[in-house]
Amino acid sequence: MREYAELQVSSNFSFLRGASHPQELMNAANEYGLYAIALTDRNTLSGIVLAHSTLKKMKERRTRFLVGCRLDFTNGESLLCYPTNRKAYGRLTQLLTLGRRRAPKGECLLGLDDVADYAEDQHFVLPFPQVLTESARTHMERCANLFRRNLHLALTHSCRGDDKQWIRTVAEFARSLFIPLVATNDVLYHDPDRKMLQDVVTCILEKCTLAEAGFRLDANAERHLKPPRIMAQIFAAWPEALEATVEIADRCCFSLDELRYEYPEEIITPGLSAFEDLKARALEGARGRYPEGVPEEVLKQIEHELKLIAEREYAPYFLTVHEIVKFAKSKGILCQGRGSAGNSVICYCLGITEADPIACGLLFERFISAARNEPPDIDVDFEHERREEVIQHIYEKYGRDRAGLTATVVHYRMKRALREVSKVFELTNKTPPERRKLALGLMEELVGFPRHLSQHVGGFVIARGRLDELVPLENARMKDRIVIQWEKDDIDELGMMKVDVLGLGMLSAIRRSFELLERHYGQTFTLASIPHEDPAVYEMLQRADTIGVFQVESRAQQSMLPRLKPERFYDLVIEVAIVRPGPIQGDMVHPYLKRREGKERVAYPSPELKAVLKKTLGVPLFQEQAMQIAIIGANFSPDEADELRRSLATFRHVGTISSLRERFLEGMRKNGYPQEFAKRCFSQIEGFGTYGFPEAHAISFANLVYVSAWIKCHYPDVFCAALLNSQPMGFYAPAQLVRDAREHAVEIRPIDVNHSDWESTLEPHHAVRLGLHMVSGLPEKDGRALVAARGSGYRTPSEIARRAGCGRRALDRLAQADAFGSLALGRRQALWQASVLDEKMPPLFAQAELFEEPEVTLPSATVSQEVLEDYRATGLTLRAHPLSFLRSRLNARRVTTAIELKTTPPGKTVLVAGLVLFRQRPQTAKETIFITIEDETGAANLIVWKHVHEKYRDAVYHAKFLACRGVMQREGQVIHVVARHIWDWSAQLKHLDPQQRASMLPVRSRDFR
Amino acid sequence: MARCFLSVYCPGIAGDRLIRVVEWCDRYSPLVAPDGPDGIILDVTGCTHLFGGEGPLLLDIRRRLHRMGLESYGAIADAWSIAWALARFGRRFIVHGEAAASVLDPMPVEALRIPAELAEELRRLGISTIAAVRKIPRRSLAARFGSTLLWRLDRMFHQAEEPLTPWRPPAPYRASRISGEPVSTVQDVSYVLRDLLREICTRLERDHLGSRRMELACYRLDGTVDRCEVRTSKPTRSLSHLMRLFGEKLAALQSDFGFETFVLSVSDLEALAPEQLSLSQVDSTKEEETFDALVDRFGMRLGFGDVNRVRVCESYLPEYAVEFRSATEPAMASADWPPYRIRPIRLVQPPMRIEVSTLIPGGLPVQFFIGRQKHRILRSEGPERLASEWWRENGSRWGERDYYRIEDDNGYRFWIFCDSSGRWFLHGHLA
Repeated sequence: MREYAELQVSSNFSFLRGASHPQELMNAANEYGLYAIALTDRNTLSGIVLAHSTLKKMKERRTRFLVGCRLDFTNGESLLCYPTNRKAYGRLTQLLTLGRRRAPKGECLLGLDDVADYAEDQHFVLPFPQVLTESARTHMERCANLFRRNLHLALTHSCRGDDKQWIRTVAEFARSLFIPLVATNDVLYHDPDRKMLQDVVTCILEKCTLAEAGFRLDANAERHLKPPRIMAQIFAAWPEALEATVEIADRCCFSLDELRYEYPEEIITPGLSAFEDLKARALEGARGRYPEGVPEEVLKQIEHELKLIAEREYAPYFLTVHEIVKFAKSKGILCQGRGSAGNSVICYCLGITEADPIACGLLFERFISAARNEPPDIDVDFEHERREEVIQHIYEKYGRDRAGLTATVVHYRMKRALREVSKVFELTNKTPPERRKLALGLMEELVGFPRHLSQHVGGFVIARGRLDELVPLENARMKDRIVIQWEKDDIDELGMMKVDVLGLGMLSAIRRSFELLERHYGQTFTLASIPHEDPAVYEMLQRADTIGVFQVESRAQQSMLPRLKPERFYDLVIEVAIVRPGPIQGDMVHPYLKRREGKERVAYPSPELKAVLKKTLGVPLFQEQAMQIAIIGANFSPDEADELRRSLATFRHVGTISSLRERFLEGMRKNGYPQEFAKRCFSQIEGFGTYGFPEAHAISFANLVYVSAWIKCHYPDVFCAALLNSQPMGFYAPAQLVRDAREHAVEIRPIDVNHSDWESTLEPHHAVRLGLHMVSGLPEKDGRALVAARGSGYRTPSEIARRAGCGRRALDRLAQADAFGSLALGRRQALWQASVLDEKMPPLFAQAELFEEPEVTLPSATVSQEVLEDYRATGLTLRAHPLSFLRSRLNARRVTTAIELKTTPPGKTVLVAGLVLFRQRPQTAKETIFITIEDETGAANLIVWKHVHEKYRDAVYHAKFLACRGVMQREGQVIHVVARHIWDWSAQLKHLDPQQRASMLPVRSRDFR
Repeated sequence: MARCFLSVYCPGIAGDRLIRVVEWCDRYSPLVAPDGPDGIILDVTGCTHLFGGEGPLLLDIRRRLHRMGLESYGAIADAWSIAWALARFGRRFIVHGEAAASVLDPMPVEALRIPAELAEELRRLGISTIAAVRKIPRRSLAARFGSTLLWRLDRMFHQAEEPLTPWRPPAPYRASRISGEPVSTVQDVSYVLRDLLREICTRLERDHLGSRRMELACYRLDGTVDRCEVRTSKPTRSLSHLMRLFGEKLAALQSDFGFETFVLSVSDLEALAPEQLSLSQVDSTKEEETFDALVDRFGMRLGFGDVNRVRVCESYLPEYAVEFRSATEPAMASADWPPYRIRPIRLVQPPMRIEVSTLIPGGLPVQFFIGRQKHRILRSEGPERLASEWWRENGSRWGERDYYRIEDDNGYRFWIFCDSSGRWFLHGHLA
């Protein structure tokens, strides 16, 4: 039998042009025993790592993978390109970078002239033309002249009727240009059954329906991968074309395994090797962490870690991260490592993480798994507002040609796929069921197809040499951001290093708190020096008094705290980890709580697992515990356990999940674990795949929980000001933060042109002065100018206009925010005075105070009107809660207040009403919506089951002021109202301002998914 | 004499409908115009008594609009702007003279008909009624809100002149001739017709319009009418073409004692771009024009229902590749057919089952039978493989088909296919 290599294959990474995943194509190729298979996606190399690794991992590997690319030129012609060696590969990536970088995101602008500059050692194949147009002839002639010996022409038999004749015609033309021939099948899918999906994606691409598509679809399903036997039959008359496939494959001896990633040089202290440098830095760091002398245990652990690092040559990676962290610290930017890095003492010593892993009893091996040959992954959080400084520093230090962001492949999700397929099928309510079923089936196949590349939130790849010789780069949506064509898993696969530079709002707030503490209380703190294990902090957390506290402020966390009753740091670690989709999906929360409350005996499924589960009372809560169960309990190898986690996390390993599940359950059964426990473990692993927290990560987060809670507990004024200045962040809007601070006896003073800075500040006696940044629509430039020019104070609005150069609009905003209190001007009077100013007042005129105004008395506003205006201008009010004005009306309707709920017995039916603060639809309870409403006495939580929110859809989704009749439910201190009926009472708000025709309270709820 | 304005407010009325209501309103007064997107203003000075006074007039107009399915509010006042405000914000609907101020004062500032942003600004200052606005010194108002507000106030309270430009319907395409003596021969009628057509066609050309339907009404001496109508498949304003179309109808007119008045009117209009005068006579558009003229003549003779156009559709499957459309429908572009996909000149529909023998199973056909007639295949080409168009509701009966073009020993050429279950069919005769 003849050997055959398929050289023209488009996968679904040629977005909407191929209908198979690269894995499917590679599996089919291997099964058919193809000599080799190339992936030639259009102007992209995004899919090659996936294809390469699929074949590499094959147990019985018969087929070689060729890197290739289809270059689609701007003039409509195409050319297939295959690098024959590493250097040529680098030229191809540079060529693609060139085309991508000068085009808008997602496009590529290339011409044949560009290729000529990068053509050395590339092999080219001209795609088979369906019609010999003038342009096609010219293109072939130009290619023949440019590439001579490195060019073939593809022959493709598409069963169009006159194939024999046509192939002969094209071949003759090729012969006239001395271009040799090669057989291809121009593959778009691995199996003819995918023709339907191929038609659907073509329609999506062409933005048409199936009925309209016409000749844009192929006439038949011939463009699937075909076994060598069939190809030999088809091209029986052209044996040289078949032989050429193998010749070309042999010529292209480049493999992705040849890519050598090299760490940047400048991270290493000159004169030292990377390892020596790391060792020196780690020991120096250790002396800083343990001023009273480094404990023996720590030294031993450092030695141990260094040994593993040396074995795997990871030292430069640690140094790179350390360099970035060092930079951030030198600029006063707070940062903290998260994720599994927290397992490493060296990371702790280098200041990358802040929690002592030895004190927490963590093991380094969980960080660098001995079995996995994969680089470690250190993610670092920076203050969200200053992350950009860090990113710019990286670009500056290493240069734009050496640092790039990782891509994230955005896949088709159910919703999007459904929308697109419905459009293509023109689905309506009247569509017959069989057709609907057909469409739905195709939609399911489409789910998981890559849709486009997007930028990863912060994963940087930094190389020693030029990055564009390693991987094509392209533009991101954000200006000046460059993205590589590979995503995280691809990078891992090739052993490249990535540093995650992430942003975290709470770090900004904590840094601001530290600054305020230093300025106003003369106390200096760092993340590590906050007093540990303060009982007052835990007491506060147990009361669920956590508005504003990192992570544990959400509704779900708040209801967990009184039950979990945290007493020490490790309890916070559990608190952080337990309210996650993993444990909830695995139904691990209740068993844990019961055991903790002593209602259930702590038992372990087996003595082997006791070691794993001891810390968490026999209930797996952390990601690595779930993996350990797979390893110890179900006899998975560490590699397999990791594959299991990954296959659940992404769409990369299509179709392997159910077989892994079988294996898991079978393994557990063999080791004598109850089936029910095994099933629960598996569903927890499923949850972990996407959202799980490893223990070290939970520790890093718990550290921030503790620090923020400590600040809130002891300095609520500082905490409030810092949070207000770090908005937008967290769960609560400024209105709730301010309300909470007032409940903690912090005086909040209104915005005032003579007292406020741009940011919110502290004033004597634990008071917070709201800053000008709270004034909606006031430009920062104007606000800061006002503060800078204030001197001994302003006496009139026009003085502000004159001295600070603020225009009418700015003063108008300030007046609306009622910021002229110190000038004894009410909101309306201030507005009146501001409204006479021009937008751009010439300073001289302003001084002259143009004309004497007659005294004008404006109608005075009622308090409820003022409240409305406060909300409109600043999003909060320091006066009364809007609902207090409606209370008499609400009483008449027998509405229960939030505070009365606390004394209402469970099971009673109540009517509650309030402004909607949040709507939440947790991942773990998709059918349920949680709504938090607020009245003047406090907040109440509503649970809305599916049948209820479907019935009252409009009210549930759109009401600003919502009323609900439902049943009280109480669990410990946690109170919920389970909704039965819901009404939208937004119209009631018009009573706040009888003169206003279109009165609407401008309160925005924050809706979370 | 004080003027008298009637304002009608129809919330939510759509643009087209408003114009129709305005047209209809000229039963009340010729001085009528649309007023904003959802209102109508009428100057009813001196005509209220025709309807029994102001109250009954308002009632009449609202009742009739209600019957048309329109919700409406109306008001009558001395000034346009007062009537406007009353219709939208008022509690009373007829106000004259001094009483106006006390009615207007408590109204919201929006009743001044000022832009929404301005109204919002006033409200924020606590100035929410017209009375509150009037309390502010004019100088202060002018300094802050510019002239718009003052101008509006003046219109309302000082009765600044408010001219009303009545709305006129577009001129119809209509022309008439009255002849001195009765006309009874076809020859004479066509003279008059040519004259009328020339007038209409010139106007159509000026306005870039073409006629789809035209009617000639011929009034006899005794007052009875005979009509003939000409429809075209495409808009036209070609005098000769229209003359020819009418020519076929004129003979059918019953002149009896002769016609005295002729009215030619266009009842269906469509946009028609002006023509480019071409230098060369042989011009593809000309060709198309004569083809269209031919279609029209067939249509006039046979009835348009029986004249079809053939359109090539984008389908590889022969049974879907051609469709017949009525000639009167706007012509849709035919598909660009790929030259290498050869189709028979005559399709055998439905395909005829035939017996075919091949040398090897699945190989090329060597001979086949149509009935008893044996055809030896000398040449063949193929297969052209066509997948079923799986997304069609009724799908395809044959699954994937392999088509072959063959020539038999007599030189006849056929188009045959083998379906997915190996059965053979004759599907067409090739040239």
